[in-house]
Amino acid sequence: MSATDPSALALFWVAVIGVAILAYVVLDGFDLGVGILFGATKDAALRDEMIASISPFWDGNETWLIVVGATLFAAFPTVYAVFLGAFYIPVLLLLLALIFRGVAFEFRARDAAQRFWDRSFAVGSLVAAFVQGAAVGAMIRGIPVVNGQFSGGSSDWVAAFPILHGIGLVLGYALLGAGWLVLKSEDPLRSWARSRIPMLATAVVAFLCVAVVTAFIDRARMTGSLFLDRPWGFVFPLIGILAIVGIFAGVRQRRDSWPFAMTVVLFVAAFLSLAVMFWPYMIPYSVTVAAAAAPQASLSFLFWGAGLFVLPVISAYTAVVYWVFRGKIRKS
Amino acid sequence: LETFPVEDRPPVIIPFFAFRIMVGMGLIMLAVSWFGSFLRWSGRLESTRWFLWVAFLSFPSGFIAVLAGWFTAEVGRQPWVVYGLLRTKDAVTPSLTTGDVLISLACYVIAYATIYSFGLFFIYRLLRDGPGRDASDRAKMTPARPLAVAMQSSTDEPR
Repeated sequence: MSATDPSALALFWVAVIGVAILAYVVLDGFDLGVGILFGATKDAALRDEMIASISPFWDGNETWLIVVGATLFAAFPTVYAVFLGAFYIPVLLLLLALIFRGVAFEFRARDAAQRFWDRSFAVGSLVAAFVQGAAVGAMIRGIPVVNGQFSGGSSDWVAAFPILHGIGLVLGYALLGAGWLVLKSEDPLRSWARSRIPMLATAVVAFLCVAVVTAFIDRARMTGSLFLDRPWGFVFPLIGILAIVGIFAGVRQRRDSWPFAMTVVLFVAAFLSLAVMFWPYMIPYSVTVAAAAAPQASLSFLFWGAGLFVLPVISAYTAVVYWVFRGKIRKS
Repeated sequence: LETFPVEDRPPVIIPFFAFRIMVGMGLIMLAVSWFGSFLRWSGRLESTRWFLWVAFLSFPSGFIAVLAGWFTAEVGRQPWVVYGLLRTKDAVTPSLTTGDVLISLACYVIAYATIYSFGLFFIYRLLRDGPGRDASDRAKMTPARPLAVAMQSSTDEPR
């Protein structure tokens, strides 16, 4: 693997992917989280209100997953090939989960098999969150790559560490979803969601402690250093700790916007911690950014089309949707 | 086609029929819409019973045309995945086993069979009930979605 520095265009596209992953995790994260919480109540009124709180946003949120996939495909084909090879089954489960969940939005309101579609919605949200977490967990563990191709088996991801991450992300998304519901709804849904935040936040903290310790041990084993070459990177875990304090404070002081905002900060801090930890690797310990980048001609062709036109358009309509549907949801 | 070497030819029978089905569906849709316009112009659209049945029964034509067109393009492209550059057999992910592919194909078939069965049922019911559905149906709409907003703005005073 060449250790040369990535070009400016490669850096631009890495930044795009980073921002798109973050946007996806935060945005689809809250609506998947609401879907997970949907499975935790049988109350039809609460359920309808949960759906109403996310229905203008959820499909726009999933656009960011497509941005991530398409950008990887075009700008970092090696990573795309390795990722889809290694996570063939998780990606299959993710797509099936998103299909059934997406259809459930429209089909559950028709008077046929509503129980089936309600269950599809809750289970689909849960499975989508779980496999995303499991894939991240397996990535952190490191993926065997030979000659730019995944060299393991399709069930390698079924291991303790990825499964732990799957559960962790389910809890994280549920926390984000609970924060969203507190932000967007009035009582009784608001208090229902708020009363679940302390428990979820505690579980997320417990998961993060285990995950961080394991990741550090792994890193020391793989690179022979314990993060000391980039000490400024510790600022992100510190921000994460402050965010956790903010979540609990927001619940205690009954501030409707704090839990969601602070959980977003927590997710951003966790993402940046991972990014600093693994840089310059795009697939930890086997493929660097520079080695994964597409030829310069492809990157610059993409820059003039997708980079300067498509991305601003997506960002703009995302902003417009959130502006139009700002504030608390209205009871119908 | 004979000018291409044998190893560069697709299985011709599939695109041959798929293309004709696609074009046939297009002709049916054209015929229905033009004849419907003609009936409308002569004021007999709502009283020509057999034509209304034809219009009702042709609701799957769009889906069939899209699927047939998809088969034409995808099978007709073989054995290339990128024409002239990359053959499908050279593009396969090395780590992928036949079992993995079989599982995923079966899953997608089951998923789409389930969803399309429900979808066709809902479309059929919508067509069977016909127009003039009253405002009580709005309760069944997913709120804050395009359809619900459209129905709301067409029946309510502006917000």
